[in-house]
Amino acid sequence: MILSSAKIHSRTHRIAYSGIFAAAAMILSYLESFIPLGQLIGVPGLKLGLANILVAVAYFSLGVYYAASISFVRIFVSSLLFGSVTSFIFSLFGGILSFLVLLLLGRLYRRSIGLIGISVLSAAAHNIGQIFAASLIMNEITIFMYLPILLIFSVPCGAITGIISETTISLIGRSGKKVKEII
Amino acid sequence: MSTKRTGQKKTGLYIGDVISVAGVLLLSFFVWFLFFLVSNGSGVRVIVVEGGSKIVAEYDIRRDCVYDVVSSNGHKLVVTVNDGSVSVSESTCNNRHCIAMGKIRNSRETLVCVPAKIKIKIVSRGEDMQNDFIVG
Repeated sequence: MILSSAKIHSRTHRIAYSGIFAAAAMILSYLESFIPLGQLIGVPGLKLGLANILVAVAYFSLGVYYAASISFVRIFVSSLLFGSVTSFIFSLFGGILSFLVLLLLGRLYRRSIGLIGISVLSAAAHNIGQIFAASLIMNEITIFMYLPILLIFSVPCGAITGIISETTISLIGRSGKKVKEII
Repeated sequence: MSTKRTGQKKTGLYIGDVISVAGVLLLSFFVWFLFFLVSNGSGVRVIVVEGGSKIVAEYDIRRDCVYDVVSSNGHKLVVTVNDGSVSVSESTCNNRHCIAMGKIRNSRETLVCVPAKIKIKIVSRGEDMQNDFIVG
C-alpha cells in the first residue's frame, strides 16, 4: 500500500515536472526565435536548439515517455502559437529523429558517450529530419545540398546544448539514476 | 580504503563524443562531395522558377537583372541575377530562409522558399535551348 501510494506520488511529481519542463522548453523556443542565428551566419534555419536541453534533462531525470511527451508538446504548441503547419512538420520530423538518437544512445550515457556526443548527434539528426521534411514538402531532393553546412554547425550547437544539459543534470542530482530517485 | 567508480566520470569527454563529432563532420563532407560531383553539368545554365510543380518562369543567368516572382499564395520574392549568380534579395515570407540561402551559381543548386512554395533552380540546358526563355 505504501509502495503503491509512493508510486502515485512519484508519478504525480513526474507529470508536474513534465509540465514545467514543457513550459520552459517553449519559453526557450520562443526566446530563440529572437536570435536570428541563421540570418546572421547565412545558414538558413540554423538554431542553437536550446529547447533540446530540457528534453535531454527530462530523458535522464523523468524517463523516456515523459521526455517524448515534453518534446511533442513543445513542438505542437510552439508551432500553434508562433509557427505554421509547415514549421510543425519540419519540427516534428527533426524532433522524432533527434529523440530516436537520444533513445538509442541514452543507454550508453556516461559509459562510452557523454551528453556532448549525444547532443551533437541529436542536432545532426534534427537537421537531417528537417531537410528531409523540406525535400518532401517541396518535392526537391537538391535541398539536401544545405545539409553539409547544417551538419557542420550541429557540432558547435550540439556541444553547447550538451554542456548545458550535462551541467544541469550534474547540478540536479549528480547522475541520471539519482535524479530519478530524487523525483 | 578507496572505492573505485568504474565509468563514473562527472565531466569530460568520452570516446563516443569524439567519434560523434568526427562522424558528423565526415557525413557532412560526404554529402558535400556527392553534390559537388553532380553540380557541374555541361551546357547553358538557365534559371528555372517553379511554383508547386509547374515552371512559372525561366531567366537567362548571363543577363544581370532583378525579377519579381509572385507565388500562388500571394508571397512576393525579388530574385536578383548578378554576375552569373542568383539570390533572393527580398521576400514577404515570414522566416526569410530563402534570403539566408545566399547566392547559387552552379547547375542543380536550388533556392527554396517553403512558405511561398517557390523553387529557384539552376539547370543545364543544351546549346539549342539558350534562346528559349519564358520571362515572367
